[in-house]
Amino acid sequence: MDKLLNIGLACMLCSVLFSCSLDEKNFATVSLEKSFGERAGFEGLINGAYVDLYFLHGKIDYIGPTEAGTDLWVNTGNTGIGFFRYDNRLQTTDGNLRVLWGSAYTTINLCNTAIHYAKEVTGYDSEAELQAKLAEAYFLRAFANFMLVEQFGDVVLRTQSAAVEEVDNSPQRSSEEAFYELMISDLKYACEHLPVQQELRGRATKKAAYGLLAKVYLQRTRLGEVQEYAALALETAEALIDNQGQWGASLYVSDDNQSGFSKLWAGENNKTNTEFLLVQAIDEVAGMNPEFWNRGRTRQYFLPDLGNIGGEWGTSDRSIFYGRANARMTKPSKYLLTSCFEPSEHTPDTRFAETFTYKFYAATDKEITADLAESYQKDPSLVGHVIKNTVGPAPADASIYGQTFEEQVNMENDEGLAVFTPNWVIPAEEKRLMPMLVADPSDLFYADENRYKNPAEFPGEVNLVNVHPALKKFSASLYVASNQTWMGDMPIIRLGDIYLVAAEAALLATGDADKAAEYVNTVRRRAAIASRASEMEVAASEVDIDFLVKERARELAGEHMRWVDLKRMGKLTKEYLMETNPVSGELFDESKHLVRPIPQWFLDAISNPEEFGNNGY
Amino acid sequence: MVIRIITRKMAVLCLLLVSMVASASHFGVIDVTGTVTDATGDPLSGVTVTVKGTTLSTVTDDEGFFRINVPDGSGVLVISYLGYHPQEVDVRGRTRLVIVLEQANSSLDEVVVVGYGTVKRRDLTGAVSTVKAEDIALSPVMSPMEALQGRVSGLDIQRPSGRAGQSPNVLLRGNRSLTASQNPLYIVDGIPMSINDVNPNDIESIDVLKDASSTSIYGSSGANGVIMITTKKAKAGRVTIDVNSYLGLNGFASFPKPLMGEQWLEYHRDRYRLGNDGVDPTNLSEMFTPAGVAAIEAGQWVDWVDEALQVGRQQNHTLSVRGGTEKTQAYLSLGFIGEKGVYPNDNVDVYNARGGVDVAFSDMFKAGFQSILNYRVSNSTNSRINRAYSEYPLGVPYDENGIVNLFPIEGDGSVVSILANNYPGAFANQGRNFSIRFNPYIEFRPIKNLTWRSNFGGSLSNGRSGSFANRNSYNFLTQGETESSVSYSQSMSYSYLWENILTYDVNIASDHDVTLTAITSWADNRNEELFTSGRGLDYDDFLYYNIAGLHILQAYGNEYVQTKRMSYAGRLNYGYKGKYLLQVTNRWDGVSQLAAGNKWSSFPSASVAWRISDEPFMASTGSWLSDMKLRAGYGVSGLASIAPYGSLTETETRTPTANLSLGGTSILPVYVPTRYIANPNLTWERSANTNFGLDVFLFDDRLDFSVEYYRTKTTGILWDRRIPMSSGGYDAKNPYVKISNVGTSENHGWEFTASSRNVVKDDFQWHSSLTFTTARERLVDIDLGRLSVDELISEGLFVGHPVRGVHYTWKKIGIWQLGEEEEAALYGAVPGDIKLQTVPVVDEDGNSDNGVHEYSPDDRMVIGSEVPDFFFGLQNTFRYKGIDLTIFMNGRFGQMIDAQVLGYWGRAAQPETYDYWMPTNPTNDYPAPGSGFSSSYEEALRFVDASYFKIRNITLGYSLPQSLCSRFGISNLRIYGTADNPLIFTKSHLLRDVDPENGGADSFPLFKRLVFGINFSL
Repeated sequence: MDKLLNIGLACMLCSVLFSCSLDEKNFATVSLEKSFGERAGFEGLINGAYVDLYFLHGKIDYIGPTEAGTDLWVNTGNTGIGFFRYDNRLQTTDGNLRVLWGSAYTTINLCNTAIHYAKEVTGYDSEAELQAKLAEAYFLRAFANFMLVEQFGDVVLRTQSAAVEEVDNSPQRSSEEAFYELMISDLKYACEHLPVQQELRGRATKKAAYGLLAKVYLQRTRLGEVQEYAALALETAEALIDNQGQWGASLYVSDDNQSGFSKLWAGENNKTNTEFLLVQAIDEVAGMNPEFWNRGRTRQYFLPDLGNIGGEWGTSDRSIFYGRANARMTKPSKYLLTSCFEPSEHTPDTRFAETFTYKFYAATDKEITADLAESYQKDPSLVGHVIKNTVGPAPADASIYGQTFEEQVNMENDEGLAVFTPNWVIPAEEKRLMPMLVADPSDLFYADENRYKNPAEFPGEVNLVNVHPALKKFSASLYVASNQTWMGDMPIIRLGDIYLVAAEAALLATGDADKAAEYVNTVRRRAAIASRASEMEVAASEVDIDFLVKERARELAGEHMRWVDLKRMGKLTKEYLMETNPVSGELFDESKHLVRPIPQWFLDAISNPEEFGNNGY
Repeated sequence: MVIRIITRKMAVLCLLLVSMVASASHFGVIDVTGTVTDATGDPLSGVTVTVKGTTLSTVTDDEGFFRINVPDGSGVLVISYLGYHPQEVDVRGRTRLVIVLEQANSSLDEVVVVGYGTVKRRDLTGAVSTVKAEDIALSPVMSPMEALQGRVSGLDIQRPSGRAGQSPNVLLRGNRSLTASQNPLYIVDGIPMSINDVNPNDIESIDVLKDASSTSIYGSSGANGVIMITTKKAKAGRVTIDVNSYLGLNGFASFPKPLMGEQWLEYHRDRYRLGNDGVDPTNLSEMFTPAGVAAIEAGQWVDWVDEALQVGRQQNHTLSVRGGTEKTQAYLSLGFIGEKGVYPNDNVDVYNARGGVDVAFSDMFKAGFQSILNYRVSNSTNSRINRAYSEYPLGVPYDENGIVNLFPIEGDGSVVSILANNYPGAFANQGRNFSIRFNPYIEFRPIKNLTWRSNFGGSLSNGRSGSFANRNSYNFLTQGETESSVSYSQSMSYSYLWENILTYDVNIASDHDVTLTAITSWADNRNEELFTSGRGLDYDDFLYYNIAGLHILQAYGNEYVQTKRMSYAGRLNYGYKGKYLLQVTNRWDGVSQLAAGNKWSSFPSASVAWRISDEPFMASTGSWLSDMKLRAGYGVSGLASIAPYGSLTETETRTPTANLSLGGTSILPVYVPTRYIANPNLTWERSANTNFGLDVFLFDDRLDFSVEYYRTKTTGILWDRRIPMSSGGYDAKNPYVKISNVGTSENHGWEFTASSRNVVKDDFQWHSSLTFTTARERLVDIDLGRLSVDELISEGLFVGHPVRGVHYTWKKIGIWQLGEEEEAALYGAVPGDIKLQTVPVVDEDGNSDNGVHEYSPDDRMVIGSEVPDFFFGLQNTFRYKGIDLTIFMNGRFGQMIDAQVLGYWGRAAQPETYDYWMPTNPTNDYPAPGSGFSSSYEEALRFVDASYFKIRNITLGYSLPQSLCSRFGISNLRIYGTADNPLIFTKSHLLRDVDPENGGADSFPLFKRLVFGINFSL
C-alpha cells in the first residue's frame, strides 16, 4: 500500500514537471513580420498613418499654432493667449503644441515602419501597385515633417521605425535644410506613384502630392536659394494647374447668382469638392471617424458673444446652427476686416461675405423694450418692435439631421436679424434707427489704430468689442450635428491656394508679374459673381509680394496657413505685426518667436534636455 | 524614538536582574523534590524551577520530576514553563511538592498561518503580524483590508475615495516598484484570490507576512508581501450558529462649501474692484449674467455641494452555521453587504456564500473542499460635485414635483444642473459580477510524519457593465448632444491553480525538530472580454439592453489575455530544543509574460531565531519575562507583474477605436504596432530583504511588544518607460512604452507593535495596542542602458527621492504683498499673485542670477512626496462587566498631497474655506481673485502637508451576562454602536473641511458613519 502510494505520488509530481509550457499565446495579435509582410496588414498600417491627421484640423489644437499671433486675429479671452500675445503664457507646457508634436512624430513613425516593411511585403501583383500604396506613406511623412519643421524648426528628423529599430533616448537635432531635402524626395516619390484618383476621398492622390510639393518648394525659399526653389515651386504648381482636369481638380466657376468662391464653401459641395486637393474626410452618417462625432469643432472658437449681449437681442449662445458661443477664442483683426477685405457693402468680392457670418438671426421673438433701446442707444421709436424668431425645422436639403435651427422662418427683409456685424461703417444716425444690434468697425476699433477699443476709454459707448463677424468656412447648415460639432470635410490643401503659390513663385523665380497676375486674376475672378468678375481683375503692376500677402488673407483666412505664410513671406516680424495687429506685435521677438517652444513633455522624457534645448523659451 | 524606548526597557531589565542577584542570601540548605503536571495530570518536562531571588535553578525531567536545594528552607520556588502561567510556591520547610501548572492562553501558542503551512508564534523566524476577527469586526467595512488600517505596523492603508464599495489602497513596507502593482498577494485558506470576494465576518484571522524570509516561498508574487486570510471553519463536536448584523448611516462628507450669499457677492465685488482699478461695481449686472442677477434678486441661493450629497446607508448581515463530528465537519455562511454612498445612484450590494466540508476517511486519508460564491451589483454615478465651485450658488434645484431642474437658473440655458444625472432616466451605470470558486483538496498520510496534500483552486468569474446616458444627462446637456449613448461590456475570467505540498516532519533525539516541505505549483489565468458602445436609441426604455436597437454601433471589440506560471519550492525548518530555530527556503518560478530566456528565476531565503528566554542563564527572569526571541532573516522575492505580452511588439487591430473611414462607407482595417516596444532582456524585478526582529513578552504576557528593522534593496525595477515622442507614439497623445528593468531602490524602516493588558480584573479590563511605523524609501538609480539620468520628470522619477508619489512642480512660498511691487516685477508678478520659489540660473561664465527671473517651467522642483514620515494606530479597549468600549485612533504624518479640492481658486464660487488676498487682506493662502497670472502656476496652490490624526472608530457595546444567556439558551448576545471616522485633525489649516486621507481628491469625498449592530451566537 505504502509503496503504491509513493509510486503514485512520484508519478503525479513528474507529470506536473513535464506537462507545462510557459509560452505566451495572444489570439488578438500577430507578429510584425507576419502582419506587415502581407498586403492586408501593410495597408492597414498605412491606414493607421492617416489617423493622426484627425488630431489637427477641426480641433482647437491647430488654431493657436497656425492662425494666432498673425496679422489676422485677436484673442477674445485667455484661451490660447500665449499664441496671440507671444507673452510668457507661450510655454513649453502648452497642450496644443504637445498634440502637434505627437501627431507629427506618430505619423512619421508609422510611415517609417511602412517604408521599412515595403521591402518584404508580399501580395502585390506588380511593383507599381505596391509603389502606389507606399507613396501614401511617403506623402504622409512629408506632410508631418512639413508641419513639424515650420512650427518647431530644426528638430529631430527620423527615418527609422521605433518598432523595428532602436528607440532614441537622446535625440539630436537636424538642420531645416535636411528636413526639406527629405520632404522633397518623399513628395517626388508621391507625385510619381500616387494614383490620380483614390476610391476614398480621404486618401492622398497625385493632385495632393503636387499641391504639397509646390507648397514645400515655395516654403523652402525662406532658407535661401530663393530662385532655384521658387522655380521648382512654379514648375510643380503649374504641372498641377495644367493637369487639373486630368487629375480631378477644378476651380468653381461663378455664375450670375453665385460666385465660384461661394460654391467652394457651399455645404452641398463639401463632400464632392473639386477644389479640395487633400481633405480630412468626415463621415456624417455613422460617425465613422477618429473620435467618432467629436469633429469639426473649429467654428465655435471664432464666435462672437451671442449669449450675453446677443442674447438680449434674441440670439442664442447654444445655437446648433452657429455653434456654441461659450468657448470663444478668437476674433478678426481690424486689418483683416477693413484692410484686406474691402470695407464696402457693394464690393464685387464675395469673399468677406463667404468667409464670415456677419448676420446672426434670432432664436426667439424679441421685443425691443425701452430699457434695451436706452442701454444700446437706440432711437425710442424702435421700442415695441419685435425681432422675429427665425428658428424652424430645417428642410432636408439644408440639414441632414432634421434639426430645428435659425434662418428657417421670418427671413424676409431681415425681420429676424438680431445681430449685424458688417465690415463697413454705417453712419451712427442710421444705426440708431436699425431694429437690431449693429456693430460695425467704428464700434469695434480705434479709428487710427489697428486695434480693438479698450471699452474703459469709451465710457459713453456701448461695449461691443465682442460683437464681431464669425469665421464660417468650417460650418454650413448641412452637416451641423450639434452646437459643438460639424460633420463636413475639412480641406487641408486646396487648389485656390496653389494658384497663389504659383503667382508667388513666379514673382520670386523670375519676377514674372504678368504670370503672377494671370494666376491671381483667375482666383479673383471667381470671387465675384460672373457679371462683376472683370471688376476683380488687377494689373500686373499691382501684383507684388505685399499684394499677395493680402490676397492670401482674402482667399485663405482661417485655413490654418497664415502663420506659416507670414514666416515664408518675411512678414513674421515685429515691424509688420505692429503695423497690422499690434496685439501680436508688442512682445514679438524675431530672435525667438519664429519657432515654437519644444513640448516640455518631450524634454522631460529625454536624457539630454539641456543639450536639445527648448527653442529659447 | 523606537530605539530609545527599547534602551529604556533594557535598562529597567538590567536593573531588575542586578537587584535580584544582590538580594540572594545563604543560610541553611534543604533538599526539595517535586513533580510538575498540567491540569490533566500529565507530567511536564523541561519546566524551569528557580529559587526566587537567586540564580539557583533546575529543569524537570521526562516524568516532570525535579530536585533542588533551597537555602534556609524557607525560600520561594518559581515554576515557569512556556505556555503556562508561572507559579510561585512557598517551600515553608516542605521537601516534597506536587505542582499543577495552569495553561496560559498565551498568544505565543497561537497558530500563525505562513506560506504552505502553519507554525506556532513561538517558533516563528520571520516578521509576521496577526489581526484577529474581533478587531476586523470592529469597523463597518466592505473590504476587510480597510479594517486593518493602523493595526499592522508597516502596512499603510488608505481609502482613495468615498465611492460605494471602494477598495482601500494597501501598501506594505513602502514603494519599491515604479509601475508594477504594489498590491500584496492575498491567500485565502491557501488559495490566492481577490480580497473583495471575502466577507469580513467570515474571517477568523489575518496574518501579514512582511519580510522576504516569509514571503519568498511565494517567489514571483511575494515581493509586495503576503496577506494570509483564514476563514472561520467548523470545529469537531460543536455546533455554532452566529448571526452578525449591523445597519449604519453614511454622511457628513468632508467637503468644503462653495461661497454663498453676501460672502459670494463680496468675492465678486473684490474681483471686480481688482479688475477695475479699485472702482466699486455700480450694479449686479456688471458682475453677473442677467439671469444670475434675477436669481440673486429672487434670493434663490443654493449650496450645490449640499444638494449633491445625501446620507447613505450601510448594512451587513451574516448568518453562519458550523459544526460536525470528529470525522466530518461542515460549515456554511451566508452574507449580505449593502452600501449606499453619499451620492444618489452610488451603491453596491454584495451577496456571498461560503461553505465547505472536511472528511477524514481514515487515519491516512482526508479530503474536503471549500466553495465561495460572490455576487455583486453596483450602480455608480459621475461626480459633478467639483462643478459646484464653477457655477453660481443660485437657482431652483428641483421643480414643484421634486424633479431635478435641468437648468436651475431661470433664463440661463447655459448653466446645467450638477444634479442632472439624477433626472429620471437620464443616466445609468451598472455593473454585475459573480464569481465562483471551488477549492477541493486531498491529504494523504502514507507513513508517519509524511503528509502529501494536493490543493486545487478553480475560479470562474463573469462581469458585465452597462452604461446609458441620454439628452438630459449632465454631459449631454453641456454639449448639446441629443442621441442617447450606450455601452455594454462583458468579461469572463477562468483560472486554475494546482499545488502539491509534501511535508515530512520528524523529531530526532527529542531535541531536534526537522520539517521538510516540497511544493509544486502550476497556475493558468485567462481573461476574455467583449465590449460594445454606440449611440441613438428610439426608446430610452431599452437602456443598455438593446444594442441592436442602436442607430450607430460605435466601438466594439474583444480581448484575450493569458498568463501562466510554474513553480517549485522547498523548505527546511529546524529547531533545536525550541530555542534555536532555522528556516531555509528556495523557490524556482517561471512566468509566461517575461521574455523568452528570462522566464525563470530562483528566490532563496534563510532565517534564524534565538529564544533567549529559554537559555538557562535567563532562568531567573522567568518571573517577569515570559518570552524573548531574536530573529534575523534574509531573502529574495520577486515581481513580474507586467502587462501580459509586454515583452513583445506585435501588431494589433486598432480598427474599432481608430474608427477611420476616410470618407467611405465602412471602417477601414488599421494595423499598428502594439503600445509596447519589444524588450528581449525583460526579466524579474528582485527584492533582497534583510530583517531583524525582537519579540518580548513580559509580566505573565501582560505586555508584549515586537520591534522589526528591515532593509530592502530592489534591483531591476520594472518600468513602463514612455519613450520620447520623437521616436513615434501609439497615437498623438499616447507615447510608446518599453517595459524595462531600469531602476534600483532601497527601503528601510522600523516597525513597532505593542499590546498590553493594563488592567485585568474580573469586572474591569483595559487593553491597549499600538502600532508605529517609520520607513524611508529612495530611488537609488535609473539605468537606461547607454544613459543614466538623475530625473525623468515626465515619469515622476527622481534619484534620491521616494520611488513614487514625488511632487515636482512650482513651490508656493506665499503671495506677493503690497510694498513688494518692485521685487515682484522681477519675477513677472504683481501684489496678489502667487509667490514661487525659483531655481537659480547659472550662465556659462558661472554667474548665478540667484533665482531672480520671470517664473518659468524651469522653476519647478521636487517639493515633497506622498510618503509619510511615520504612521501609527492606537487602540484602547475597556470592558466593564458587560459593557465594552473601544477607541481606535490612527495618524499619518509628513506626507504631501496634491489636493484637487484646493485647486478651485478663481472659480465662479470658490470654496468658502479659501482665504484670498486683497489689498486689505494680506494673506498668504490664496492669490487675489481674478489675478491674470499665468494659470500654469496655479497648480502650486494644490500642494499641502497633509499630516493628520483621526479618531478612526469609537465602538460601545453591551453583552448580555452569561447567566442570562444560558437561561435563554444562547451562548452570546452583544449589541453595539460605532462611530466611524468621527473626528479628523489636520496639520494644515488649508485642509479645513477636507479629509486628507484620500489625498484631497475632489469627486467622492470621504464621509463619516454611524452604525448599530448585533452579534448573536447560539
